[in-house]
Amino acid sequence: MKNILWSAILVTVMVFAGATSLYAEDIKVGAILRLSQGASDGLPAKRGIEIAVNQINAKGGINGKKLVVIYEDSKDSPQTAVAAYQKLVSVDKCQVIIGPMMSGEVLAVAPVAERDKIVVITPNGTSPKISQAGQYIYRGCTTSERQAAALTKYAKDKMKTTAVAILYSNEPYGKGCNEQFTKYFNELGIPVVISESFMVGDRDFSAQLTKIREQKFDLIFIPGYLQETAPAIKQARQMGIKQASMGVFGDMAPKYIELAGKAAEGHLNCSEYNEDYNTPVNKKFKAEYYKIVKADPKEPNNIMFAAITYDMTRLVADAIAKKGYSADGIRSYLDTVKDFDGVTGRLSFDNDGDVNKQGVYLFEVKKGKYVKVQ
Amino acid sequence: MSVYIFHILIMTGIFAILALSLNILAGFAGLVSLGHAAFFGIGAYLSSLLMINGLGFIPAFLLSGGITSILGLTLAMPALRVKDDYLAIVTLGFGIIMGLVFLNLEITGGPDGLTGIPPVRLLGKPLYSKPGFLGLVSGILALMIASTWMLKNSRIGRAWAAVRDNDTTASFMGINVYYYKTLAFIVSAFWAGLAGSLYAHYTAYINPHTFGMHTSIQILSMAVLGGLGSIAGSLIGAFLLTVLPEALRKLADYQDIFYGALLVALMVFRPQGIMGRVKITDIFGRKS
Repeated sequence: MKNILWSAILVTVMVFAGATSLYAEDIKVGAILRLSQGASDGLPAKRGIEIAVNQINAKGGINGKKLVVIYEDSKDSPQTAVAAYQKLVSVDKCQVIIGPMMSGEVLAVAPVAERDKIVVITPNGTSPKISQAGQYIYRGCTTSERQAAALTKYAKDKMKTTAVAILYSNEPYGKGCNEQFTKYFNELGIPVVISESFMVGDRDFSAQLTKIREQKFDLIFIPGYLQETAPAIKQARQMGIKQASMGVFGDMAPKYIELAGKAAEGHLNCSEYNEDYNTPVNKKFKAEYYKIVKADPKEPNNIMFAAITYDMTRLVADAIAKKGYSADGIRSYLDTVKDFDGVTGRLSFDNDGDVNKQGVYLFEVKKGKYVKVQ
Repeated sequence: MSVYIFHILIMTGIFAILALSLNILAGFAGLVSLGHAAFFGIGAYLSSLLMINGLGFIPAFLLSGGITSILGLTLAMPALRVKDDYLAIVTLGFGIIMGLVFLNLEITGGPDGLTGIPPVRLLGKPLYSKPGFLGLVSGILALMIASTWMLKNSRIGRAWAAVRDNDTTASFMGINVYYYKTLAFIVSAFWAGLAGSLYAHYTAYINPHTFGMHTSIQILSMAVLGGLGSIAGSLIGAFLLTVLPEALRKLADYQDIFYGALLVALMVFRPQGIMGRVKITDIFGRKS
C-alpha cells in the first residue's frame, strides 16, 4: 500500500507544480509543435516563433506586455496533441495556439477548439479537410489543392508530361495529395498509369518500384514526408527509373537533398517561401535564422517552416496589439487583415481561414541546391 | 486548470476500462494479448459509424460493445489453438491486421479517420461538459469493477484462475479449458469496445494512429505495472501511465527517458506489479 500512496502523491505534486503560472503580466500564446518525433521540422518551426518573439519583445512587447510562447510537444500523435491543447488552454489560459503541424493532429484538436472558441493556426497542415474544420481554425500555408494546381500545370506546360506514376505515403498527407493530384492530372488530360502506396517508417520500396518500372510514364510523383520520400527516390534511381521526379512541400528541405544525394537532382516541388523575396522584413528574418543555424551544427536547417511560423506569430502579436487578447478579437483581426507584410508574401485569409499569398513558388534541385523556377 | 485535470481524469477512466479488460484476459485467464488496441479501435469506429448514420447514443454504445465481443469470439477460435508466447504473437498479428483494416477501408475514412463524430446524448441533450462526461465514464467503470469483481469471485473466476495457473491440471479437474478461455476473450472484448465508444464520442475525431501497436503495449504496461490479476492494480496502472507523461511534460526533452526509467525501476523492484500477485513471467515461462 505504501508504494501506491507514495507514487500517487508524487504524481499529484508534479501535476500541480506544473500548473503554476510564470508571470501574470505576460501575454501567453501556446504552440504545439513536433519537438521529439519529426523534430527536424518542428525545431525550425520553433525557431521561427522565437525570432518573432525576440523581435517583438525587443521593441517593447505588445502594448508594454511581454509576449511569452509556451511550447508543447505533439509527438506526432493526435491524442498527445489534444492533451497538449487541453493543458495550454486550461492551465496556461492561452486564447490562441500556433500548431499543431500534422493534418491528423489539427483535425483532432479542431473540434475541441471550435467548441471552446479558441483560435488555432496550423503552420503546415495541408489537408483539404482543415478548410471546413471550423471558424476558429486557420492555416498559414496554402492548401495542397493550390499546390496541386501549380505543380500539375507546370508539369504539363513546361515539362510536357504525358503520363504519371504515383508512389504515395499512406497517411492523411500523402493520401490527400494522391487524390488531388490525380484529379488535376486527369483534368489536364494526363493519365495516372499507376498509383502505389507505402507506409510511414518504410525503408524498402522495391516491391512498389518494380511494378512502377514496368509502366510507361515520364514523371514520377512521390508525395509524403522526406523521411520516406528521400530514400524512395534514391531506390528508384538505383532500380533504373530515370524519369523526372516531383514531390510536395514536405521535400522542400536541405535534409531531403542530403538524404537523397544525387538522386535528388532535377526533383521538382513547391514551397511556401522564397528566400530571395526582396523586402526588409525578409532580409532581417533570413539573417537571423541563418545565424542560429550556423551557430549550432546540430540545428536542423529548414527555413521554410521557420518562415511560416514567423509570419503567424507576428500576425497573432499584431492581432493582440490591435484587438486585445481574446480569441474573438484575434479572429476578427485575422478575418479582416489585408496585405500583411509577411516573409512568405502579402498575407490575408479567405472565408475558410486559409491563407492567401501571391502564389506558390516552384523549385527544382540543381547541383544539390533548390533553385526557383518560373 | 480544472478542465485539464478533468481531461486527464477522463482519459484515465477510459484507459482504466481498457487495462481492466485486458486484465480479465491476461491476469485472470492467463492469456496475454498484444493486440488489445484493436478491440478499442473496433468499438470506437463502430460506435462512431452507427451514430453518424443516425442511431442514438445508447444503442450505438451497447452495440459497439456487443459486436466487439462477437469479434473477440471470432479471434478466440483461431487464437486459442496456440498458447502463451505463441498466443501473444497471434494477437499481435490480429492487432496489425485491424490497424491495416482501419487504415485502408473506405468507410473508416482511411488514414484521415472520422471527423465530426456526434457527442454522447443522454436524455436528448448532448453531453459536452467535462465533469458530466467524467461522471459517465466513472459510472461505467464502476459497473465494470462491480461485475468484474463478481466474476472473479464466482465459479467462472475460479475456473479462470485454474486455467491460468495450469491448464492441463485444470482440464483433469473437469474444467472446460477452451470454453473458459473463449469466455475471457468475449468479456474482455466487450469492455474494450465500450471504452472505444466512449473515447470516440469524447474526442469527436478518431484515426487509425490511436489504435496501433503502441496503444496495445501501453494498455499491457498499465495492466502489468498495476499488477496482473488485481482489479485495483489495473486502476492504479492506468492512472499512473496516463498522468505520468502529462506530469513529465515540463521535463520536455527528457520526458521519455524519465518515463522509461520509472517503468524499468518499478519492474525491477516489483516484477509482479504494484498490486499484483502474478508475474508476467509466470504466464510466459511456465512449463506445462
